[in-house]
Amino acid sequence: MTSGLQLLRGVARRLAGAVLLLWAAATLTFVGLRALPGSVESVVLGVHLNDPGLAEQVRSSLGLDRPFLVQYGDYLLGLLRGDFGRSYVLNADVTDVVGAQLLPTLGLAAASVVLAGALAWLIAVLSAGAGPGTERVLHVLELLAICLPTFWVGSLLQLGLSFHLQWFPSVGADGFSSLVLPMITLALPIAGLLSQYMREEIALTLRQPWVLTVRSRGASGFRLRSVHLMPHVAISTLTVAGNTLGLLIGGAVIVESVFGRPGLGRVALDAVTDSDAPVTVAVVLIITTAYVLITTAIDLAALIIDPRLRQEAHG
Amino acid sequence: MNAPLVEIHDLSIRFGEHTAVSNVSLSVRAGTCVALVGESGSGKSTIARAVLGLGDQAARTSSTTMLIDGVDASGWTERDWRRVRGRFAGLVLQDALVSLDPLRSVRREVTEAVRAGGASRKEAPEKVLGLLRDVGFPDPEKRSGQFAHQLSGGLRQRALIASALGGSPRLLIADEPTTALDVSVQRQVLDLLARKRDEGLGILLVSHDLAAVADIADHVIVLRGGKVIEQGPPSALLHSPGHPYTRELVQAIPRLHHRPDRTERTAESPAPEVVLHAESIRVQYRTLTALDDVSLTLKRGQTVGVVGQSGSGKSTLLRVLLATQQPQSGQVLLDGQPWSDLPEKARRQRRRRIQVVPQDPLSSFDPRWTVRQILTEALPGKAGRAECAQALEAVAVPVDVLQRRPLELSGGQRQRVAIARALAAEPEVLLCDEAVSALDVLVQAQILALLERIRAERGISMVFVSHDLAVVRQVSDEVIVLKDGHVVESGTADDVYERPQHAYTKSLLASLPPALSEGA
Amino acid sequence: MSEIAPARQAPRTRPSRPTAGVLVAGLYLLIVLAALIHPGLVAASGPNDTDPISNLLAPGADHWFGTDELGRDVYARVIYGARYSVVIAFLAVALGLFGGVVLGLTAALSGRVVDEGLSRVFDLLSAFPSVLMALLFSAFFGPGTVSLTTAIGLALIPSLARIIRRQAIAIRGSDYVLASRTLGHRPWTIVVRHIFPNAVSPVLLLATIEVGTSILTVSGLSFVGLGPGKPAPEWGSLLADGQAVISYAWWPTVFPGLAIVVTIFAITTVGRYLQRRVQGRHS
Repeated sequence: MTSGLQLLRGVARRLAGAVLLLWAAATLTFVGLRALPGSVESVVLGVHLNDPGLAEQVRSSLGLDRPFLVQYGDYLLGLLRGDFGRSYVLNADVTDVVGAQLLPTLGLAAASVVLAGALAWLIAVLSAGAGPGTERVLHVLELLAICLPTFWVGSLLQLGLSFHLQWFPSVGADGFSSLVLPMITLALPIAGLLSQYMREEIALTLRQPWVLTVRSRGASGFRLRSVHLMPHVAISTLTVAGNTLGLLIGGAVIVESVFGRPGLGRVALDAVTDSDAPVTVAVVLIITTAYVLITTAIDLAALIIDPRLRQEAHG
Repeated sequence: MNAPLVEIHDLSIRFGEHTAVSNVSLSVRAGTCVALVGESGSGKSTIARAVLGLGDQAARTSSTTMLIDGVDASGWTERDWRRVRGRFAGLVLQDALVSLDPLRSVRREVTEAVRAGGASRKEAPEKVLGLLRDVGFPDPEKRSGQFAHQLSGGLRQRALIASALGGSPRLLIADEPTTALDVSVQRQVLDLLARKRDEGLGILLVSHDLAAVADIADHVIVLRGGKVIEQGPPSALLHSPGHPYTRELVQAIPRLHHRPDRTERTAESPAPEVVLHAESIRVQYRTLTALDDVSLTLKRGQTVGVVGQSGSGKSTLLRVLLATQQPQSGQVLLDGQPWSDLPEKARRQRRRRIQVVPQDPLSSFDPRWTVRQILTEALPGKAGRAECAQALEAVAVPVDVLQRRPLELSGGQRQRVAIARALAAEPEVLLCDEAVSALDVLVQAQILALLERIRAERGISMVFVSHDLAVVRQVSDEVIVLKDGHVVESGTADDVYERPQHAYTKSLLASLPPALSEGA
Repeated sequence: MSEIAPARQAPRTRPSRPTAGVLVAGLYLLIVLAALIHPGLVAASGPNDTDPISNLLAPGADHWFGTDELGRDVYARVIYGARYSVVIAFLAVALGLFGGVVLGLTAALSGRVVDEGLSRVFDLLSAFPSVLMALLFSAFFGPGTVSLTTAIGLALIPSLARIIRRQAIAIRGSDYVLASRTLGHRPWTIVVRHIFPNAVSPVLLLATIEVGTSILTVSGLSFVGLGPGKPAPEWGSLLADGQAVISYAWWPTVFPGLAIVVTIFAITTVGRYLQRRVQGRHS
């Protein structure tokens, strides 16, 4: 079998897996929404929940008296069209509520990932081959970055750079200057994790026999690092980067709260406080979709870089 | 005579307190092959790397003379060393699967070497194809786009050699270049190296295998613990070794036509009973036939050797005999009773009658356990310390090892403990799965002697599976030669080795180093 | 000499001695343990003793970490807060570990269909990182300690289960399990004797480190209001309280934060040290 066909099969398999996963996630949240306490009619009815006539009326007007499967089908079709149902607390379409908040969160997440990646790459490449002293200092710094609670760092940065020095606004979301502190706050733990992983990976890869072969050809240290080492480190770092997405998502929710930024996290938290389950579920589904898409993209990237994976995916 | 490519006097290499190499001198001339031979830990690889300036950063290297291509290299920086790497000297390591960048195709790897050697972007592709053709890489136009993991062991080793020759070096440093290969492929790669030497290449060959090296080396240096024990032309070392250690090494080499003293088997009953019998075994994996119509008969107190190269089906045969794998057809009988055709439950109480001696004993021990726990699990009933000590004594391991974990033992001791565990079950049959293949030659000889003693003393029968023809010859009464799942030849060891009928057996025997055919 | 990092020496087989940092971290964790078991030993006043006269006092001899806007001693609140933050994190990890071990071993040892099915379940669970899981649980069951603990625990299951599954499959095919089989031992004996301990022991240490990470998640979520709720002195809630007064009092923010950082740092340091030790012994 040719390598191209193997690659195609691997891609198809992974894409199918992603679709299956998203379907399962949608189903799970649907069951949660319909079957669990805090369900739709209790929110709409509020104190009138015990009035049987009224309850019946509300149920039929919301379509909740239809068969479960029909509701489920409607829900899935709605999702495919980008329709997340209705928020009865805000009395608005969920899609409108959530849609307006998509960009600020996306911007914050993207900026932080870029910053974290750049920081980690810089540290890893510059410190490769440094002495054990530098190594130990970096190790402690990375560990510290990972252990720092984002909400605390956020508060401290506000305290120092906003209140005392007044360099950056402490809250809000207008312009780049208001993005700086949240971005740094969110990027720190991710940078620590990535840099630590990359440095370990570089040290490990440098011990492989083929590194000796490359050096025995008279290749320069620069060539070894940039041409040979980079793809190896990139593959494994990408895989880990997928895992740090969880960190990014959790961090974003909290950072938005600290800095009073609008965004998906803010909406979701408000929805939880207001028992507005459809909005929370919509936010979770959107983020999960992004998460699944990104991890699938990372998988595919690894598949393209590493010829060995193609064979394993097949056999 | 031409000037040496490399001339080193009194080379010493230390890692902190530990001296890896002390006062070693060597010189390699164009068109000759110098071999460094020694067991693991003898410092042979460390020396080879030092010739390219590729030592560990922690290593402290000193020498009175270090001439590379006639130039004093003692004060060289990394930049200076880089100038000679590839262009003056190339390096070939053991297994190309891990010695070629796994993310880059053969073509890109060889091209990198060719370009590093000064070829222009334009002339590189032609030179790469030429090199690959020269080392016997088939159809390089098409197949050079493949990756190391897609190639057979022999092919990727050829690709690795091509990449080492990419910079047109005058010296080739080859560190165990054939160790991971099947005998016939080993022969081909050695022939290739010999041809390059005849074309004027200087070769520094590093190996654990004195017999294999003797074939192509002009000068052999025997190392032990970082010191030169003895050196000279290979025939002299093989036939009249001066140093006791060399003598021991030479004697430990398993020979094809000489068998160590063994207890006469005919002294037992004239027709010993059959212990284990496999009848027309067939195993199929999807499209691949792993075993086809393979039969084997093992009589009490005897040893059947199973010889096969990688992919021959010998491991599958072993699993079928052990009844951890079901054959599609055919069956195995133990003591004349069904063995393979039983539900596992019925087999369980008889399992102790067949035991395995594994290739890698370390991985056959639970890493959390001490030797005592390992033996206690195997001994019948509630065995105490005394029983464990007795089990160790039988394989000549000191009793104080009981409290240690396998990781803290030497390779030979681990294999002895594995044998002790097998014997603790009081089996009738021992299945030896490449049981000595990973050991240094001296230890290998000791373990073979131990197995022979056990067979003679306890009347245990053995199936000895190995890729190593000479080792199988030493231990076996009967021999089966497997190829691609078929028995190509079987018979008494004497018949198969002295009067081989099948062309494959003949070719296998012919590809062995001639040194093995000589008497000690 | 060389421009790049040299090939390092083979990993040490001897367990490395604890460094001073590891010892200090261990000592600190003992103090945390004391605070968990008997906070009264470590703190003089109660966490909810209000004293309106002395509100927002700066750190001093009477109140080491100062007081908050209700005059509560921040030090006492941090000490008693460990009971929430550390215990919730610990319970969550215990849940995750239990689920991971059971599901991971089941997947590894029960044949293809079950394995495939469970692997899909792990995929599904891992599509909801802990914060999303907590949001979902809070939406469905209402916010609170139970939702929080369950959500974080569930989110931990897939990664732990996958490791255990991979380990167990490798061990099942290992030569020492084969050796045990040829000695006639029953499958169940082999699982208990070899597969379970060898598959689970590396994960146990990983779980210790996860306790640290989970403290971070717990306090982060209760910072945004998904935690035990007031007036419980959970560390994240303390920080949220502190943030309200941050423009004129720094101590209610700084000290609880330090408690979180130092605790996680200590757990991670000790956990990694133990990991190195065990690896040194096994491989």
